[in-house]
Amino acid sequence: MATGRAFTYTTMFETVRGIGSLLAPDGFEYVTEIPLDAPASQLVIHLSCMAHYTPQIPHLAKQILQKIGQDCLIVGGPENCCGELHKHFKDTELEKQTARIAMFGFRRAKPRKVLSICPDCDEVFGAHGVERQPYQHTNISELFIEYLGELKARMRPVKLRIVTHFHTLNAARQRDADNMLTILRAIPGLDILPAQHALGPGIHCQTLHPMPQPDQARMFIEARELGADAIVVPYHSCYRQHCKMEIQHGVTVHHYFNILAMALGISFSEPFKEMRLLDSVDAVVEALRPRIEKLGYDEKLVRAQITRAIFC
Amino acid sequence: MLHHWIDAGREAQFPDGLHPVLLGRTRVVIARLEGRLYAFDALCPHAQGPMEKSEIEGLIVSCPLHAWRYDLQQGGKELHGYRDLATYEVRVTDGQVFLAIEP
Repeated sequence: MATGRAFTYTTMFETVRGIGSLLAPDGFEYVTEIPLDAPASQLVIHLSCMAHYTPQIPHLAKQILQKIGQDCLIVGGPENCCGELHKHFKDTELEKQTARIAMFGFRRAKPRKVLSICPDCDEVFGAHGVERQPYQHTNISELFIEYLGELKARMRPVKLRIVTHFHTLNAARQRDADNMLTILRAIPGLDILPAQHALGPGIHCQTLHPMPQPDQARMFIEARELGADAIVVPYHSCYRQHCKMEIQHGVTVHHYFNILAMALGISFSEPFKEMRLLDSVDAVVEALRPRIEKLGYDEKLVRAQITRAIFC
Repeated sequence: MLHHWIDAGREAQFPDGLHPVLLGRTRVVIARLEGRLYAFDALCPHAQGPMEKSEIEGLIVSCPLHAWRYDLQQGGKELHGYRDLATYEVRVTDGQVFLAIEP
C-alpha cells in the first residue's frame, strides 16, 4: 500500500520493537499475546506503544504494585496498540479494529482492572466502548490512590524540591493531575513548589500537542528560579519531550513513578533519558552497541530508529 | 499434497500492487510485486488484519494493524518469529491466473 506518508505503520511499530528491546532494563518482561488458557491475573498493566521508549515507567509500575503485594501482568508490544497511530493517520476502520483487538485481548487474563499509563490509550479505548468490557479500565494513578494508605506506610523521605507539570484539557487528565499531586503530597520530605507555568497543552506532551518551546523554557526557568531540583511529569510523553531540557537548565526531569520508587526504596535506571542526554545519535549508537550486536540488529536501521524515537 | 487449481482471473486484472479476491469461500490477496504474482491469505494470522492493506517493502508485506511482517520469498515467513502467513502457489497459463488451494 503506497501511503504517501513520511512514516508507515511498519516503520513506527518496528521502531517501537527495536528501541523497546534496546532500552529494556534487565528483568523487564511483558507478554504480547495472553495465552487462551492463561491463569487469571487480577491486574493488567497495558504497556502502550510509545511507552516502550521509556520502559522504566511500566517496569516501576509493576515494582511499585509488588511492594504492596499486588502482582500484575504487563501486556504490550505493537500487538496491543490502542489504535492511536491509526487514528493519527485517519484510518478509522483500522483504528476501530486495532482498539477492539487490544480491548478483547485483555479479557484473556480475566482481569479486575486494566491499568493504563498512557492518556492517548485512555482516549481511544474510551471512544471504542472500553466501559462495556467486563474489566475496569483506568489510569494506574487510580489504583495508587486506592492503595495510598499501604504505599504511604512503606514510604521513606525523599528530600527534593519539585515542580509538578500537568495537563487539564479534560476531566480525565485533570483527574490524573489531581491523583499525581495527591500521591506526591503523601511522600514525606518532598517539597512541592507553587509554580505558575507548569500547565501543559493538550492531553499530554510530545506527539500531537507538544508544549511550545517558549512555554517549555518558561516552565524550566521558573522551576530553576524557585530553586527546584526537579520537574515531575505525569506521562511518558511529557517525560520524553522535557528530559532533554536538563542539559540547558540543570533541573532534573522525573516521571512521578520515579519519585514514588525513590520513596519506596526501588532502584531504577532511566535509559531513555540517559540516551537523550548524550545529545548525539552517534553517541547513542556507541552506548547501545553491545546490545545492538547481541540482538543482531542492523546499525543503519537502529540509527534511523534512534533518530525517530529519541531525538524527534 | 493435493491441490485444486482455482481460476483467479485474467493476469491483466492484477497490475502492480495488492488485489483482494474471493475464491469460493476463501479470501486471498493476489499481489504483483517486482513483476511477479504471489497469493496469500487475506487475513493476518495474528488478529485477522486486512492483508490487502499491507504495507510493502520489496517482497515483504506487513499487516497494517500491528506490522507483523511476512516475507513472500520465504513462503510467508513472519520475520519476528511469530506465526507465518499462508501462501498459495500461483500458475499463469495462457494469461489466466490459477491458485493452488487445498480442497
